[in-house]
Amino acid sequence: MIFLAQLALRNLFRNFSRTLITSVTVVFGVALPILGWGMVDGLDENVLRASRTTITGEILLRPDAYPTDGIEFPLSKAEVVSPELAAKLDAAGAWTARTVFPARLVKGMEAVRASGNAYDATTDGTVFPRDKWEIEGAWPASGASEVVLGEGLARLIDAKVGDEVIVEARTFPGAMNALTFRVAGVVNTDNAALDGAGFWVENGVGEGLLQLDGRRTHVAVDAHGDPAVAAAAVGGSGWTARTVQEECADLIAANMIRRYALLFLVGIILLIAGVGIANTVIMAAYERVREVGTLMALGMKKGDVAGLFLLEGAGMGLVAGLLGVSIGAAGVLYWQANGIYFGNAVRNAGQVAMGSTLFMQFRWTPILVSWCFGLGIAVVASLWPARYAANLNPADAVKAD
Amino acid sequence: MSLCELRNVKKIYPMGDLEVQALRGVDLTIEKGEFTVIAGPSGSGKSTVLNLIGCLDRPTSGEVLLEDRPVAKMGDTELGALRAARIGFIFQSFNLIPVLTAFENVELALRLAGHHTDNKARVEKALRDVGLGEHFHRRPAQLSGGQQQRVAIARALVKSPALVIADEPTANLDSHNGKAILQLMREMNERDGVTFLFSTHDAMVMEQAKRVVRLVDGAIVDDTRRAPVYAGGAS
Repeated sequence: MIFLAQLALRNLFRNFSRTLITSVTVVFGVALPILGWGMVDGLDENVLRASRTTITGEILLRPDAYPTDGIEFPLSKAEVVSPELAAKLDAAGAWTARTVFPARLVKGMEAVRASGNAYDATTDGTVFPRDKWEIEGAWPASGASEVVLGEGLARLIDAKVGDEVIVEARTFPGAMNALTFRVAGVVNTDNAALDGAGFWVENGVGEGLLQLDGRRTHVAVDAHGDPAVAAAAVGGSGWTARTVQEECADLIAANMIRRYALLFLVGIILLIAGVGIANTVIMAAYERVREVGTLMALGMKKGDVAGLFLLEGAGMGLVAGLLGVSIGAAGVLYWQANGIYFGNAVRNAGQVAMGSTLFMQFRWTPILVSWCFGLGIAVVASLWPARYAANLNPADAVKAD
Repeated sequence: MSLCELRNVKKIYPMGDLEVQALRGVDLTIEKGEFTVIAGPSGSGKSTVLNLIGCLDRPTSGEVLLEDRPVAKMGDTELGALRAARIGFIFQSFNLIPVLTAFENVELALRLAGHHTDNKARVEKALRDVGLGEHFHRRPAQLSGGQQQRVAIARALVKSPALVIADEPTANLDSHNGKAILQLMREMNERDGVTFLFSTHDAMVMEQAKRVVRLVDGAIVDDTRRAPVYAGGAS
């Protein structure tokens, strides 16, 4: 076996340029799915991170009757956080209550639909650490009629720090209200959906604008323990709790489609690699008929002849696969540490709840699967040439040209 | 016990819808220590006889015995094992494995014959016996035609086979190298009692033979044993 492997290895170096070209397809065929898988996993992480750090925390509670589609934000469904729920939330971890409301933002002749967030200045930062949020200007002073605009929204209406804007919104009782606010800051939360259409006012100011009487539409929790267990614990009392994974399930399901598309493309690339290997081994088998005949004349068994060609294909798959795995894994680890910045692309994509930087995710499974698949393709592609060589008639083969 | 024997051997090759009768009932016995040439024009059946005796092919009918063992009904694996252990081959085009050195090409025959001990000493001796003591680590492409054929002879002899089959061994060599190779084989036949069976067109080879079997159209027309004329004056 060792001798066969040595012979196979030397044969691979015999026509080095051909082996190299074939190996390159295998390298790509193995490296691409690892990179692609890392990227799709990174998309999942990106969506979860964007939601966790700006909208939901680990757990998001809404009043039972409140829609969960992320499109409608009916103020009429807002509820008071009862002392009983507050006690449960205190036990679960840090939490903050917000009111999300549809509004119209007017600056001079410009008017746009926007999504308002009335937040608790004391607790909001405990669930949504703002150290990575970039703000130009400042957060509203306590009790001041000030607003912070999302970066995309500010750009849309050409608002700057210090400008005045009018916020029009329907109050909880159902009347229309409009107040003038000074723009205290322009924020980039790194959630494109929020930055493109969101603005923030303090709860106290929100009470005046919306006449909520202590009602809230969302409670976000940064749970101490397992979010699923905590969600089960804080649910009830007229509020429905969902983990961030459940909140982002639709987007993650959409990513599954990307995964399938990726697998399809990878399948095609590996098929091309397989055809390349088959071609290389077939060429080798046709070119070396006399050599095979000689080996048979010297007593090499058919199985060993087939094994020699299988080892050549497998050797190519093994080495090129290892190289592909190394390139793919190195790429994933590099982009996991440094991220890929998609800033403008994400901003221009509209209200997509995702961050501007994608951090690839390293996992062993795609590495092992890609490598095994590449190796498998190499062996399968070598089967026919190996069979052809093993079935040569030695009497004819020793005299072949 | 004769070394090998053909009994009323016929060999037919299908050629599309036609059949070509390569051997028409050949009877031939090769004794140990012989230095025999199978001679004849192209298409006379020389190579077919060598293939059958060398266990590379099976007869259509008749019996082929190697050391009294009938080979016609042996399976591929059994035939392969028999070739590896008992038969050495020397080919017209040398048929060395280009990716292996001279040493490795010779060692290959030992490995395939199942020898795994003392290989180094045996291979070195075999190469020195054919005058290639300085070229162990050269690949075939770095050797002349004559040197390549010497490696092939060493490869055939290193496993101490019962029979060495040489298919036109001098055809691709110039006369000087051809004579030297032939003399080498004669010496091994005389000194070590190795049995050689050749096919050839070469008059010089036929002159060296102790026995010449002539084939025409798949049948033996002459079988002469005689004293050889030694090449280069060696005896």
